[in-house]
Amino acid sequence: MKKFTFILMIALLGFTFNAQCQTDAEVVNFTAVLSSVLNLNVTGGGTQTATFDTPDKYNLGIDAVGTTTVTMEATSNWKLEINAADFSDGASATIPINNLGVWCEATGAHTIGAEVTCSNTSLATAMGLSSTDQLLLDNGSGNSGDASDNAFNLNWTMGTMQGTMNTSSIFQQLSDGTIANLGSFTTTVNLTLTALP
Amino acid sequence: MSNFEVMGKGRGNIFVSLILFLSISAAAQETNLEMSMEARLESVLILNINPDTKIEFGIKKVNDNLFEITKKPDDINFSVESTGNWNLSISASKPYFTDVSDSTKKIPVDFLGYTIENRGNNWDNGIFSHIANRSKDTILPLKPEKTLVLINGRRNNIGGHSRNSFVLRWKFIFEDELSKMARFSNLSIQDGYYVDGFYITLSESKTHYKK
Repeated sequence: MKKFTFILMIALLGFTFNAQCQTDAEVVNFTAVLSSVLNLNVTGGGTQTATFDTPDKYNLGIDAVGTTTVTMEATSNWKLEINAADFSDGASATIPINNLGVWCEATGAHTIGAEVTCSNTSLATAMGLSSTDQLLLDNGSGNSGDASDNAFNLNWTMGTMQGTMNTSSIFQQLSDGTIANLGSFTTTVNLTLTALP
Repeated sequence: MSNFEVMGKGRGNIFVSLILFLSISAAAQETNLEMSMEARLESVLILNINPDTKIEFGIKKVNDNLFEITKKPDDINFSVESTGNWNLSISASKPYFTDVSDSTKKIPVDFLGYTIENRGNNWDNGIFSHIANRSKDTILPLKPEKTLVLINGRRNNIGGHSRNSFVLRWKFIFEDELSKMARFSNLSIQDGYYVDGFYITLSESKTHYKK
């Protein structure tokens, strides 16, 4: 009997050892960190010049000054705001900034009226700039995405009296003294991309 | 150092880390970008007029004191487009009108006078308006020398054709001034069709009134 018990214990121990060798488990911890990304890129037309050198331009403005192409890369929905100070000649003369207008076109996968909203989609509805931020592009049905989704043309116009732009021609503003003299005037346009909660 | 102090420092570190994290997160929520814009306002000074325009009239002597005008000189429309204030003068290209078929027949150019009628939005009510028009209330005689007719007023006459649009109307001086009839009767004016050219000289004014 003792002998049998001894053999049984040895057998059990053997099974135990076997069982332990069969279950060798290791754990690999993998962490994916999805950080917030919010990039605004000007891909072309970062510098624009409007030259008034004919009566028609002074009377009617310049419909197409040029186009700035921008892309946004955002992990969340976003909005784009715009502002600029009055044009200045570096001395005391200024041109009111609402003589400068902008309107948008979507060139990426996201379209205006669907993923993105914009109230200024043609020359006739151009936004006259101001020194305080104005909403240019906003979230529609969800505008997060990469540069291929969020690609836009910002079309510039000046002195055309369209949309919310200055209602007087450049000629008129020269005449009434709002613009004190001729020359070269500059300003900086600020674009602000903000992630929406 | 007690356990409490250690815990306090630990919480402080966590708190600072949290603030830093939140600050970084908040800063990442907005991206700014600047662009340069330039507007160049270049000088423009343009007179819009038919370049072939001449002064032409036909005249026929009825008797010593009576002439019949067989062809009146045409009115001339013109406009000014200027980014600066401007002045406008008129002069005859030659001192005499010459008959087209007989160059020996001549009439002095002051046989004719003119007025400039304002058709634009710039007012020509004198020096305190946009334009001082010296021909507004009087007929100016045509002369070979330049006569300054339109001058910028205090409200500036800068503008395009809609603001600076005019009609130049020719008048026979003796029509309105009987005192000159005697002089012209001495000219022995002969029947004919007379022609002369004229100049409209547009020049930039140095005076600009600021708002």
